[in-house]
Amino acid sequence: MREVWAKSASDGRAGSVPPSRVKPRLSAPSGKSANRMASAALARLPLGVAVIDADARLVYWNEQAAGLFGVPPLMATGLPALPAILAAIPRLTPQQRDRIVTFCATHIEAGDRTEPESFLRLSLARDHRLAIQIRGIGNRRWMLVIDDGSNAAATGRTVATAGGDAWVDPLTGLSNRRHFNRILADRLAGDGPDARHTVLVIDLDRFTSVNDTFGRPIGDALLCLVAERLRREVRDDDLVGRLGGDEFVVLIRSGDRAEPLAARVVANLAHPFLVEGHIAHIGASIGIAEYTGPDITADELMRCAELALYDAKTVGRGTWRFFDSARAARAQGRRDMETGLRKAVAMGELSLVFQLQLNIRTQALTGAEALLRWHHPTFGDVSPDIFIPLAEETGCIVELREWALRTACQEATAWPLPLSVAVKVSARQLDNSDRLAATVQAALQASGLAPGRLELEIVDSAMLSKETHVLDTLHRLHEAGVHITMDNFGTSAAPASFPFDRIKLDRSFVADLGDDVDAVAAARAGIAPDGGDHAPQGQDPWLTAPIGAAEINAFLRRFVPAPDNIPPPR
Amino acid sequence: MRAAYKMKKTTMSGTLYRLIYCSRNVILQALPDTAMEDAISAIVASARSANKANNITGALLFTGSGFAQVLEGPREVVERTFDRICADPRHADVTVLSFTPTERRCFPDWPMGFTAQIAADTDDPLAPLLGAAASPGPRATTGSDVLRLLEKLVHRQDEWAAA
Repeated sequence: MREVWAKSASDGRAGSVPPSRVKPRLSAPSGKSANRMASAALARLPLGVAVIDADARLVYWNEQAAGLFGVPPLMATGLPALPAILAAIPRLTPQQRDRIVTFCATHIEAGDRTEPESFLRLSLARDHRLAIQIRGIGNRRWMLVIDDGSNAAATGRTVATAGGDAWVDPLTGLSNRRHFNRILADRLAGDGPDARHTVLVIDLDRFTSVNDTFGRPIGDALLCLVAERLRREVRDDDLVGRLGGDEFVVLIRSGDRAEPLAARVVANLAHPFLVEGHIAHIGASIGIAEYTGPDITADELMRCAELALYDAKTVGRGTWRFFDSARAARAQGRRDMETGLRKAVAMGELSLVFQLQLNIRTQALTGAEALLRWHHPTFGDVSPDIFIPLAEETGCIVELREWALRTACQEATAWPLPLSVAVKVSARQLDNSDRLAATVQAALQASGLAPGRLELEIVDSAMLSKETHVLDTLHRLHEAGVHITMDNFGTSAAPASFPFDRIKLDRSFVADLGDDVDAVAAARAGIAPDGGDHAPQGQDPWLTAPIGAAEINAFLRRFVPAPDNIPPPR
Repeated sequence: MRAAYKMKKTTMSGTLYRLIYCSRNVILQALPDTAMEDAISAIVASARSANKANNITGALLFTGSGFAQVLEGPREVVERTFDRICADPRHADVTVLSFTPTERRCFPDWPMGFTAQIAADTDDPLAPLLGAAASPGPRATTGSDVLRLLEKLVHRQDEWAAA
């Protein structure tokens, strides 16, 4: 600001005074407190007041004008020019913008000889009128009084605006979320059907690490630099806002310009930043959504852009993605499934099926593995290939596995043969091994199942980098009689850091061996090939598919010599 | 040749900082030699007037593959200038080699008045910085390499001007 003033003062133009001195001159010259009172009143006047200089640059504007214009109460760099500022007024066509500029220029040219007052009225939309009054105030300054038409009924808004930065992000001087949303809604409602509005939501990558490394003040300074770079990339007609945190937004009146703009912004924000003597590296991901017509609201358009942003972040940051309705539908389906999964235990939608295990050489039944099944009221039977990874990701796998453990112990006690029952243990459960131990103990106690009949299957990759207390817990359970099996052996290079009772080969191991039972047996005697939920192609048809709780009871009864005389073994 | 340009001893705001960065040339390569010279002088001309106004000195090295620039001036001004430079679509992969406070200017007499251009048929000293295959001959791999290289070229030009 100082430089600009120094420059215009050197032009020798009369009345080139710093803007800080403009406000007092506008008020009654009767002491400092009166000046302060007058400036405060002017600032909060429910009409837009702006003062321009002979170059049509704004040297003063009150809060209401800031709300209309979308300019910050104070600009960091130079004085904003009126034409650029006008671009931010919603529903102002280029022609109307030119009319205002010409209107002001005419009065400036006429100097003080012109009639003291003049009006310009513009119709922005059906019930939205803009009235501008210009009046010379001496010293080659002109005051613009702007009434945006909604003023009379807008006392509520005026009160809100009087709070200060109601429209402007105080840090960066960009439009805040509220102002941006208002202009977006105005443009969507006001522009004709041919207008193509596109929203670009810009999220900074790695901003938090800059904040953590250099501290909040540097982070804030960086956000201001980002705002500057964004301003430089857009046109006067575009609107740039800060939605909060490290999220920015740009609204453009074009569909075709969106992608080149996104590419430029991503490239520019990937360049290093020099912030108060530091070098900071961030980047940006962008979600783009184009307005497709009156069937979607401004809020929905913003949500579409946010979804696209999520996509851009997922594919690896530093890039942009357009909103894709099909993908959004899939994402929505996934979210519905996530919600459903969280309730599955409580809603009683889970069940167990059992995969029988036998000694391949002796053909003797050794046990059964409990497998989770989920029946959702609207999705129907959801494949474990879908819901297990989802549960692992969201963390509710622990709840599911604990339910499976309790239920499997309960059901095994009802079997006519004392087969072992195997349940899977998730890597997440090992993260809290004390809870795992407590859950196992509680399940055994509640069901009365002998610990020796319970087998916990641990994926070998889960054993990687597990701390000693995890091993201690497994040892404790092992000493209590519970069997510990390594599941999916061969899928990771984990060293066997625990004396497992059994090792289950991954199905990829056994697939090569084909039907050669001897080869499988030779690989390791007593191993049940783990085909997961798809049974191995063995010779025994009853091994091919997991069976339900009722079937396994009926099936096992065939192996009991005198079923009526033998109580279920403990 | 050498412009008599007096720098103010004290800066208006901020400590004196020196920035050294390099970037990859993305547009100029496609131009024929004469057009490239015009484009370079346009860049230099605009940089020169902006830097003069901003109390900034420095030097620009242009090779076939990219640019290396030294900017010296008050910290805030250097930071703002660099931010503007980043928006220029004619280069990419801007890499800051060093950005440090400094006691004195290395190019006190050059408001970006000094530019060096390495002919296309010689070894490109910036190649290793810009990720291209290393070439034999003089190479720059750090900010101080770039600085030394530019200082050497200034010195040579001074001798040439004196002769």
